[in-house]
This record gives sequence, C-alpha cells and structure tokens, in this order.
Amino acid sequence: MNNKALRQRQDNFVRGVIYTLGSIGALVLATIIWYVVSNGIGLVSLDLIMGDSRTFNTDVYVETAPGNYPLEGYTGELELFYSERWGLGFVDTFNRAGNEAVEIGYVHPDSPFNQSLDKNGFDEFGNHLVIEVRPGFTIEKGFTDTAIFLGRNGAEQIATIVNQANVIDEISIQSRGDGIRGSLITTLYLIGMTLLIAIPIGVSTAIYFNEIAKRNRFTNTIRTMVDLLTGVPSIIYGLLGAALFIPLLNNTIQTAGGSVISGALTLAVILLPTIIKSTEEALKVISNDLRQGSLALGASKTQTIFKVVVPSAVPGILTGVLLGVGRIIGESAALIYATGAAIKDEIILTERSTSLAVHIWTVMQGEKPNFELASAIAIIILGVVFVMNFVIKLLAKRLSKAMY
Amino acid sequence: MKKFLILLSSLTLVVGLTACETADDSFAGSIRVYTRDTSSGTRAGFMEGIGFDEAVANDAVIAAGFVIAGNLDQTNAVQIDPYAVGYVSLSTLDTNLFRGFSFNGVEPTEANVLNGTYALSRRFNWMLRDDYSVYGADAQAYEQLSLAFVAYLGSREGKASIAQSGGIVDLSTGESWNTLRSQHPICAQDNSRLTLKIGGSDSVESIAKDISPGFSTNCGNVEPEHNHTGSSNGFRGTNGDASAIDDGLSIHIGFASREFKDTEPARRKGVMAIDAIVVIGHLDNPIESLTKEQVKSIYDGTVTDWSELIG
Repeated sequence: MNNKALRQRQDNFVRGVIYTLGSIGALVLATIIWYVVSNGIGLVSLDLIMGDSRTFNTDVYVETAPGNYPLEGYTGELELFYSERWGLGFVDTFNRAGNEAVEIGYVHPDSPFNQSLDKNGFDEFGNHLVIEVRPGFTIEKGFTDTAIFLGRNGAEQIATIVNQANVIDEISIQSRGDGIRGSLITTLYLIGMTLLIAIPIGVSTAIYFNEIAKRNRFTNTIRTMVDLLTGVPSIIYGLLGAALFIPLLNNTIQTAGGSVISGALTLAVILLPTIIKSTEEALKVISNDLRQGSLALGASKTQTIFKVVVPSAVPGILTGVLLGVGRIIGESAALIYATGAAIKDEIILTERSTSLAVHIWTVMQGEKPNFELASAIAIIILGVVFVMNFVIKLLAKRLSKAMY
Repeated sequence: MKKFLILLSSLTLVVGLTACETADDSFAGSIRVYTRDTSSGTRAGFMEGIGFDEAVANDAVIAAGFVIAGNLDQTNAVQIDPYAVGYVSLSTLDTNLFRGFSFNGVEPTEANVLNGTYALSRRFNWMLRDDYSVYGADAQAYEQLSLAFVAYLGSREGKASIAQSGGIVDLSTGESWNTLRSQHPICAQDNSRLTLKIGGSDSVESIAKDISPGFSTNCGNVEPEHNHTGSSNGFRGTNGDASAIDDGLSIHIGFASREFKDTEPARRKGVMAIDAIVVIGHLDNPIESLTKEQVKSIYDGTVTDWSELIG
C-alpha cells in the first residue's frame, strides 16, 4: 500500500514535469506564431502579394490659375484637408508597407487637376500627356511658387501650402510599390528549379549507394562525407555558389553577376546531402523479400530497382523533398551571394532577384526596419510552406506503392 | 480530474515564471552600453563624432559588458531597459518611445544639424565607377546616366525626395532639374532598356529607393536596381575587388554612410545628405543632455554608473 502510494507520487511528479515542459514548449511556439501573425496580419492583402515592388513616379503640373471650388459631397471616412482655391483635398493614411503617407482624398469636379499635365510624358505630337488626378494617389513632394511641400509634412500642412500657391510648378505623385510578387515568384522558381536539379541527382546517388555499390572502404568514406556535408553551414555553400557557379554561368550563358539560376544551383548542392540521406534511409527499410521476390519472378536488377524498390520508397523520398523545400524557403545566407538582394517585379532567370526570406532580411536592414512588413512576409512564407506540405503529401499518396 | 489539475498547476507555474519582474525606484544603476557592429557606417560616424576613433573598428576598447545590436534591437532595448544607452540615426528617433539626449547641450533636430550647432553628425557619400569601359557599347550611356543621377541628387527635386525620406539637406538651395537637365542630354533619350545599379550602404537604402523613381521618370525611364549590402560594398562594387561586371556586388553608383577611406579611392565622389546620430536612452532616465566627453567616458568604460553623470 505504502509502496503503491510512493510509486503513484513518483509517477505524478514525472507526469507533472512532462506536462510543465510540454506546455512551455507549446506556449513558446504559440507565442511566436501569435506574435508574427498579430504583427503582420494587418498588412497581408492580395494587393501586397500581387503588387509591384517598384514605385512609379509621375510629375504633374497645371497651367491654369487658381479659382474657387467649394467642397461638395465628400463622403470619405478620413479627415479631409481641402484647398478651395485648387479644388484638391488631402488625407493622412498608411501605405501598403505600413508607413505614413499623404494621399489625394478628393478632387473637385471642376478642379484644374482633372486636366493636369505630365511633365515628362509626351504624346506623338510632342504635347504633354493629360493626367486626371484621382483620390488614392500618393503625394511624394511638390513645388509651388512660394514653398516646397513633402509627403511627411502631413495632409494639413500640404493643404495649407497648396491653398496659398498661385502657381503649382510640380506635384510628384507616386503609386507606392512595396509589393512582394517578384520575391514570391522567385521563391517558387527557386523551389521548382532546385528540386528539378537535386532530386534526380540525389535519388540516383542514393540508389547507387544502397542498391548497386558494394560496401567497401571507398563507398563508406563517401557515405561519411555525405553525412558531414549535411552539417555544413549554408553560408559556406553560398560562397561556393559565388565562387563557382556565378563565374561558370557568366562564362557560359553570359549572365552578369548573381542570378536565379546560380541560386538554384547553389541550393541544389545544399539539398543533395539531405535528399541522398533520406532516400537511402527509405531504401534501407524496404524488405529484402521484395527484391528477392522480384528477381525470382525473372525481373532484371534494373527492373527490380525502378519497378519495385523505388516506388515503395516514394514516401521516404518525398519526406526528404519536403525537408528540402523547407530549407529552400528558409535559406537566406547563401542566396544573398548567389542571387543577390535586388527586389524585382519581372523575374528573369539569368538576372539578380530576391527570395521571400532574403526580402525579410532586406526589409529589416537599414535605419528603419519595418517589422510589420517582415511579419506579413513571414505569414506568406508560412502559407507557402503549408501549401507545399499539402501538395507533397497528396503526391505521396498518389505515387506511393509502399507496403506500409 | 487529476490530469486536469496537474495541467492547470503546471500552466500557472509557467505563467507565474514569466510574470516575475523586479521594480526599482531610485535612478542609479550600471550603464548597459549598446553599439552597432564594426561594419556599420553609423558606428564609424558615432565613434569619430565622440572622439573615440580607436573604437571604430575595434570592439576590445569598448566598456566592459557592451552589447552589439542592430537598429531595431537598440530601440527596443532603450524602451525596456532603463539603464541602457545606444545610438541611432536621427530619422529613427521617436521621442514618444525613448529619449534622445541633447549633445553638448544642443537638441537633436534637423534645424540644428543644418545650422551646424548639433555636432554629432555624419555624411552620406556617393562614388561613381572610374571605369565604365567594361560595359562595351553601353559604356557611355551608363557613365552619363550615373553623372545625371548624382546631378539629380543636388537638384531641387532630388533634395526634396531626400528630405521626404529622412535625409537632412538644405532645401533652400538647389537648382531646378528643368535647368540642370539640359546639361544631361542622355535624359532626353529613351533609357528604359538600361538598368542603373545602385548599392552600398544599407543606411542609405530607403533614401536611395525614394529618389530613384523620380529620377527614372526625369531621365528617360531608366530602370533603377538597388542592392544595398553595406558601406564597404559601396567602394568594392564600384572600384574595388567586387567591381567586375560579372560580380554579384557590382554597381554603377555606390553609397557609404561614412567618409570613404584613403584605401577607397575614386575620381568622382560627393556628398548626398547629412544624417545626425542621436544618443538614446530610456524615458525614465532623468538625464537630458550629455557632453561629448561624457558620451566618450560611457563608451570607453571610465563611467560605469548613471549616478556618476547625474551629480
């Protein structure tokens, strides 16, 4: 009885420790996810995902003199600061990346800005293009006959300066970029190309090691070296990419500096050990009865490998691929060298670009790190990982002929 | 039921552990020194500004127990740790969240930087490639575009863009680009097939990225490409060991958030804007102003407790 009570107390203690540590783990993970999501979710939008990263600038001016345009029928929610003499209203708002910005909030139907002129744009007759200024345009800066105004002055001050002006020399209107479409596409390209290179090589190597090669000192040495490679920090592979693949590609297909292709090649090298290892493990657990059965039925060794052994190992191979995809998405150190940190909108495989992870790095650099945008990108990365997981699991189900 | 109780008690234990905090009333405590790493242009500008040149590239001379941290970590630290001291660019200063100390009695404001009274400042510098011939048929176009870009930096329009994104420039001077443009005939052509590569200091990144869209529309729609990876790469990518056309870091225009060193020569270089560096601390810190000597004594470890500075 006494003994039993003691044992029960010991059991409860051990269970208490397990529950405590387990809940610390769960709490930490949940906090991280909650922190990232709560910081970034406000910025996640289709606009951010599909938008251009490049900011487009248009400088407009008007040739007419100011008039009198009383405000009528403004229905917006934001507080409007209005210039009656020019029929132009401004609002304080936030742009896609979460930074403060001043936008046009209202244009009077008779305002000269309905027919403003593009300082740098001309039609085929050499006349300035006509631009209709509309609500939603972001103000970067402007010059009047009396003063200079900047977006960061705020809507109220801008409206005052504009209202005092007799001539408006120029207003720079920008459609803010900060979209991450280019980085998302680059990441998907990197995943596709890397797997296309790494899977055939990795799987073949594993098949050679496990099915064909004899176990001797030589193959064992190579096997140990493959094991060692999995632990090498990726920055070293990045240097390899920079030192080997970039010059190689520059001299063969005339790329200039880093490119998406050199990034994919570098990542493929990083993934090889992982894929070789997981494929080998998957091949090892396949029962020898299967191989012998196939051989006994008259199949050749090659037929046995490709029709019996490999299909049975598909779930294991795909697990390796899944780990690889995670590695590709998360990789930043190696890619800064191999593909660069240039945020692009149109992705050309032979040019520099940036992946989502490196995009986060870029956003967090500099004097004003943008944590909200970084969190928003992190959420999108989580989304990509989730989708990839789902697709690969589905593939595994379809392709697998495993006996377990 | 028992399971539930165990779970509940362990949860309260966890929550209790994280909620533990100590309170301190008096303001005396050992100073926790934060600094940027040696590759940072802000650090070089700061250390030179407080007369502690030995610490520009050497961590060993800094006060014991110092912490190396980026911008974000420093601004976070001075919001949490009442005894922390760090330094950031004036554009990062948010006086609602943390304190920006006056330097030699002068408040850190743009006006004070421009009139020269606020002494702790640094310059954002640019340099161009000496050798454009590697671009073959486009060599001349790239050279002229680079020259047009730096001319635009000094124009009224360029300066307004710099000011808009936090750089400190004198807006009362600067010729209109309409006038300057005539000296740069390249801008009258269609340059949309050309990519102007801009890089170097990451402190300059946000300013450079705000200027380039305006420059693009005013100079034949040339495509700007930004690759900002640190001040030292401003030289390396234009005239240094990474300037070869096939190098991942090669650029046409390189920025540094510090002065270019003697080992970083270039034929064409200049100043884009000024940036002030502000010594920052916690809002609970009663000190409002620090002298150059006081800041140096904090960073070289002669003064280790805030109480020594209050008296």
